[in-house]
Amino acid sequence: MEKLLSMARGIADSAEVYYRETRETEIFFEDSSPSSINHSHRVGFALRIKKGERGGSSYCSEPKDPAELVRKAAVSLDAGAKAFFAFPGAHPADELETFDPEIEKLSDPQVINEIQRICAVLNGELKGKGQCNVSASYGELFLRIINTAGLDVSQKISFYKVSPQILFPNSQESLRLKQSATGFQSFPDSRLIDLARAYICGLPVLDAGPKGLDAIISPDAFHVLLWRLEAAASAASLCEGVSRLKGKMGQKIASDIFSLEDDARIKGNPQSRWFDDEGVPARSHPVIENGVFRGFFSNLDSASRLGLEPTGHGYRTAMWGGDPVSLKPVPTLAHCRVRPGSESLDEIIASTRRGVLIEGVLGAHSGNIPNGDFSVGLNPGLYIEKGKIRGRLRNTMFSGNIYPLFTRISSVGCSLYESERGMFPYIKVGDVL
Amino acid sequence: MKRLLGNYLGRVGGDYSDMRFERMERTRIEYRGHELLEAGSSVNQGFVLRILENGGFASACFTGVSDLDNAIKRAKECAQSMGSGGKMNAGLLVPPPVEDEIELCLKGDPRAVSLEEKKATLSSYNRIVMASKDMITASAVYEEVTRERYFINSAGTYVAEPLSTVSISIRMIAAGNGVLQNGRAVVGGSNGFERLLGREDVFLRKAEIVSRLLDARPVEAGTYNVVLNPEMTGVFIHEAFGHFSEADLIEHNPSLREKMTIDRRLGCELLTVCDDPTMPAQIGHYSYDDEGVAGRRVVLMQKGILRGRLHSMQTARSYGENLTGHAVAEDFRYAPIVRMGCIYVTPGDNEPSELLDGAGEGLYVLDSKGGQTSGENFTFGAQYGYLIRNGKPGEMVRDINLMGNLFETLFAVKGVGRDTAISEMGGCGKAQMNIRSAMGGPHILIKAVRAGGC
Repeated sequence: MEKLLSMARGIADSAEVYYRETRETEIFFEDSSPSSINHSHRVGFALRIKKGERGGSSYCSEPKDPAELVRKAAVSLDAGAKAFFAFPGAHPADELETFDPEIEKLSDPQVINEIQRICAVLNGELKGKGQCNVSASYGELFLRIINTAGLDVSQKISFYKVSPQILFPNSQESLRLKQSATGFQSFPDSRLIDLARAYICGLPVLDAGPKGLDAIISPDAFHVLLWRLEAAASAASLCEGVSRLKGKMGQKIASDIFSLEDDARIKGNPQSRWFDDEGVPARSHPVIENGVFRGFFSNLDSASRLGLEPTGHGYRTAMWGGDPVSLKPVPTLAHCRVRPGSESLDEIIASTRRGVLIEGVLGAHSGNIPNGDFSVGLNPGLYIEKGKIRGRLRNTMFSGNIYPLFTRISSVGCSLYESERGMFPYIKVGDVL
Repeated sequence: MKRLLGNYLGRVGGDYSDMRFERMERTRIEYRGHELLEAGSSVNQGFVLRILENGGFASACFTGVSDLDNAIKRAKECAQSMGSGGKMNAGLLVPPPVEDEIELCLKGDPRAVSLEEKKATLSSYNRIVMASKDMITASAVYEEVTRERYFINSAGTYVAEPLSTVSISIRMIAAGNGVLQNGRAVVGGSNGFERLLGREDVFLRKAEIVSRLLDARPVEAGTYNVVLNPEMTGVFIHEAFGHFSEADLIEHNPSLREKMTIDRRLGCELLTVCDDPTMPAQIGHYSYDDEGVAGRRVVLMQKGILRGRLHSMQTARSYGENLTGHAVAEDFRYAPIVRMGCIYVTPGDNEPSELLDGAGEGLYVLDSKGGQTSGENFTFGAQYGYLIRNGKPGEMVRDINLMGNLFETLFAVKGVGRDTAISEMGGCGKAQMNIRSAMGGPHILIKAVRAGGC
């Protein structure tokens, strides 16, 4: 990395080298039987250079020829793309405990045993009424970023992730759970039993009947709303002139009981980070506080265009995945957390006269995302009547716009559950279906 | 390359093993509004090793040849763990050995076109969009991917086949009446740079539509007779039916597998559906899949009867059916899974105007905004649509998402157009992203489809 940086310095005013190495084993069981196992070891280098107000980049998996990587970055620089930002300088290490050395002793048979145990617990409750799928993965991630401003940061992360799922008949419609940690953790039986019981309640297929249903949005389904909020609260959208939250800083945009922050420094979470993919220190960032919009989140580029300090949200991500090394850092809410409320899920359900528990959706990516609109199929939506789950709804859609919906949040659950982009509670919104 | 990969594979052992090496060159140029955001190309590479041993089937993906021994060790460990502890009992239908080296057949090799010319082409289309009425920004992306693929297996097969895809995609956003509206236009394919030239009309037409969407009202939620344009037909058949033709998706789902029994009637007589990755020029074109199996046209549904499905070597063995050559990986980072190559509804007898007539007071929906499936349920979104009045497209409407049930909707197809088109934009997010999954067909009429507005 140092050699690459030194060579890049020779042709540019400033430069950054990003290194990423992952080792991961993924194991899948379908219908309680093994279906696939994949191991991967991937290494990648990305180079960014700056000269004046121009920027260039290149990447590769194995820099056998560092000069070629630098030459490609130089060609990219000559193309004339603007880069107004400066690479961040050295900052004090504020490291997190994200590596559990025990991960190196974890074996495939141990994970397979745990998956088989999970299947046994679920099947014990289901008694042949449902199909169990379980996926698990474990491994390590090492990141390092160095730049010509003197930055040299690195982080080692270990992870163990498991996700049990019960499929409804004739379908891949399912109820699922997720759990991740920096090391092996046995999945609690109590959560598996709750999952199986919710599944059994959801087995009858029902029609929704008249309109006027309350919606209880699960942590998994929350990403529909988050996706649209993120599009508006991103400093890049503000720069582009397409943010629905432009001029709304400090204004009420949601119910008083709703607060959402991005906090990359949560203890024990294998997704936790102490710097983003540009080396900027990660910190807690309120997005909505008691219903009030508190601020845009940024990467180096969008912050510099707005004349602001970067918030440390530059991550090499894209809507549909991709190789992080090949992606440029964009403002991303990667570690969201909704402030828990006071009611348990059981209490929220019990207080619902007619409603639907939205455990998953289809089509989150469709619809007018910049405008905040959504229109999704429930997958599944568990129908609630007089405080009890009665079955699951057939062919039902949930559509609207996040801004009026946020103002109608009436309950926020007291427990946070892991989902794609953070930790979320169940959230109830009145009379929306 | 053959000798090198052969040497590597010779160290693996097992009941069966194969190895794929890929060198992937990617060029990406992006304008955001009028500003050039990014331009450049990079090269990545990696290996995928697979081993079948005592019923355990495992893969190891790695980026450096120095990691070969460790990858072999891990793949063997994984196969053993699944075979013994996990009681996996995988088998493979391995085809007779073949040796083949395919050359790209391109009208304008994009690798021979300068970055400046690519930039100028993209910029010219971007300027058209940005100059359009109500347009406040656009994200214009030129993307070119060339994958040099080399495959070898322990049964004696060696295949080298490069794949090339090029596309220009412009996502455009217009503002007015207090709302933002967006749309996307794409040109692209697998037969060279020239297909990107002279396509101004595609971007101009979509920019005009996005501007008109500002005055359109959201479609009222309800049940409609809908006419799908060819792009929507492609997404519909991909989501509603195609995924269940992928044998791995239902292999371990007994209830769905039973429903997808060959020779069972699943749709109306008007509906015939095929998948053909070998169709030239379309974005998903290939001759061999990522298991070195020759791709071929498969009739999936014939006049409403299920006639075939798409296979990898593993699923073909599991089902006792013939190989089809549909095991595809996103790139060197992944082992292949079963994917559609180019799925399409075959043309029928109706003029599109007859389908509009047949819809009554229905909905004409155009141009995809993506879709998703989960078992028998599916959704797919449209970029825009028209209310049908007196057999003609009338008022423009927006925010159209359609939802249905596979086993009901395929019977609700009431007309199939004689026109046909294959989408220039590929895309499928099943486990890995596949930018080369193509789809298409003619206009079709479906009765009583649930539409959600906003």
